[in-house]
Amino acid sequence: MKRKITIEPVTRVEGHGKITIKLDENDQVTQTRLHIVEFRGFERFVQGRTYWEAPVLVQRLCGICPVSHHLAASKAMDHVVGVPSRNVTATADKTRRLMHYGQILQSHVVHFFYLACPDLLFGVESDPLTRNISGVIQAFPELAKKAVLMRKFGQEVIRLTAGKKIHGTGSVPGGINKHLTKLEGDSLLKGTPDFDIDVIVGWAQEGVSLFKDYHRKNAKFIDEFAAFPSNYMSLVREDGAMDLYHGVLRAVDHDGKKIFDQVDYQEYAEHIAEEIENWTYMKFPYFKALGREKGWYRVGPLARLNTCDFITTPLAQKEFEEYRAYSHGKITNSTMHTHWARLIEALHAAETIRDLLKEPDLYEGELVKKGKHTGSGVGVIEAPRGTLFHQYEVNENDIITKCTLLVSTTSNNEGMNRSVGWVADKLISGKREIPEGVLNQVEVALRAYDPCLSCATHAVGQMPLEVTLFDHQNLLIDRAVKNADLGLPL
Amino acid sequence: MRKRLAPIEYKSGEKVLIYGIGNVGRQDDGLGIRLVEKLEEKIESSILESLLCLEYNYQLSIEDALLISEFDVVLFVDAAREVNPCAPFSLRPLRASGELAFTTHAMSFSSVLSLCEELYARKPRTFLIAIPGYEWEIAENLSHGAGKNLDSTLESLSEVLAEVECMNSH
Repeated sequence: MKRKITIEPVTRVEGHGKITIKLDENDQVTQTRLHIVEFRGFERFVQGRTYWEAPVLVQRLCGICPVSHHLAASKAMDHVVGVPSRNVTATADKTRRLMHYGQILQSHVVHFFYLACPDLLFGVESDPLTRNISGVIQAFPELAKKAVLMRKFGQEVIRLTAGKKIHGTGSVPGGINKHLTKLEGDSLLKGTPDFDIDVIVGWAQEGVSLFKDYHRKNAKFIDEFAAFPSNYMSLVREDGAMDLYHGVLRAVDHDGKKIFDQVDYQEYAEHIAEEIENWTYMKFPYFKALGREKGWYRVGPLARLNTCDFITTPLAQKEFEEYRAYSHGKITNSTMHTHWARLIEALHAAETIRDLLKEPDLYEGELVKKGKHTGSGVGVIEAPRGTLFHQYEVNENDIITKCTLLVSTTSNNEGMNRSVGWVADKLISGKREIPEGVLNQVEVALRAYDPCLSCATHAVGQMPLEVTLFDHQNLLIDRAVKNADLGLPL
Repeated sequence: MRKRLAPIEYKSGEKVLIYGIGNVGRQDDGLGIRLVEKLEEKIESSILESLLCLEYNYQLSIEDALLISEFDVVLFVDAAREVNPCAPFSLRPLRASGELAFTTHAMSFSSVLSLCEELYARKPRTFLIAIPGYEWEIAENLSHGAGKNLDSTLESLSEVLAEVECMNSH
């Protein structure tokens, strides 16, 4: 008898995903698929608008990381207006970097302390009713408060550099539209009586220490859970340093051997192709040189620490050295090391923000450069979840005629599928029911990628997590539902 | 059809937060933010400005627990799909719950309330104003029905705020 297991989180109006796992007659997993609906129609929404609108419009794509889209679109439009991003003024470059690292800090902090921590603190097989934020607060109340303040700090960096809390306008084609005032800079440097930027750096260090302590006690789980070899890709600075804002594309294989390096991202399409499968709206990107079967890759914190040679800020570099030493100087294919990498990046972001706030260029200097329009451009940035590509074509009337996006969750599509497959193979093969632990562990495996599935609307009244089990005739034989509590009266 | 916001209890001097959430790039999903934008244009009273805070965002996150801890009454405003289609809005009290949403940075109302209680030992009286929406495509315009609902909600909320102003003017 063949059976089909469906794990279906019906989240927003769009942006939902579900998982189907097929078993053979001996109840062995034969196929695992993660189906995700992505940004249908957004490219068309941008077409027909003027190019200078794009950096603001694209923020409506996603409420999780609008700054990443804002900056990726700006960088693409830099090229369109004939001012490649490496040539914008120091004031523009540093202000954008500050905005971006504010986003990285707040996103990574929320992810680790409020999404990943419950999994780690209470174990992947624990009851979801206790594996939650409340549990984290009870175990680490001060840490939970620090995470709130770190997130708030990151949001404040974004507000002051982007000009608004949401739908920021700070970054424009060819530069930025305002300086940070000294008063604003001081408010971030000196913070409040409770914390300043140095305290934020210290708290980021505590986060890394928390993970390392957990890792020491749970090395087997962290090293082996959903681990598998893959290729990796990210931006790096030309000298190999980690750079989350700008650089060249570098890709390495599972052993760290370079697949390509020093690639100008304007030419990314020469190296990356996407394949469509008939069972999901999400495409499968791969390196052309290796083909679809062997060329799939992962992006994000794990990839970035696998591709870079060093980190420019001292505390994060020290942690990076320890991280690499654990893998005997090689890269790591351990999916759960993504959390470790994410926390090192959060520390790097905090240090970078501190350093940037002391730069005089932030507070004075030329804002925008002008050049000769080129009619097309690619913008790339390392978003919290990984490499984000925006590509535009603009006609002689300044109207966008084509928009192509390659978001990081799409680049991680194959990796997420394989992670779910790893869990299914371990826990479902040989079973005839859907244990709660499967659902939890699928979540844990996916959460390492911090996938962005909530990039659409969020009207009240939806967000259950549903698991359904069908027999070979597609008859429902088992079902489990995890309802998201919206706080409404029963 | 107008509906008064009767369940909201208010005492003189209490601080009120009205917090709209949504995505104005997704048609009616932006109803919460649209309402707050209209209130910003409408409110000129210095009394209200000292007691009332207007906020908006795409969605709720952890720092909102700290924000709401500073208020006595909190009104979240959001678009809704499954509400009484005959009413321009519904008003519901919210309760805390620590349940974790599936793999997302956005938080539910209940999780934010729970965080507020557990981290800051504060329990503001919290309500959800749910305004029915009908269209959710990638566009900036509200549907006709949602626009009418928005106007009705704004009118009712304005009456409540006028009462709040009156109570605090003596």
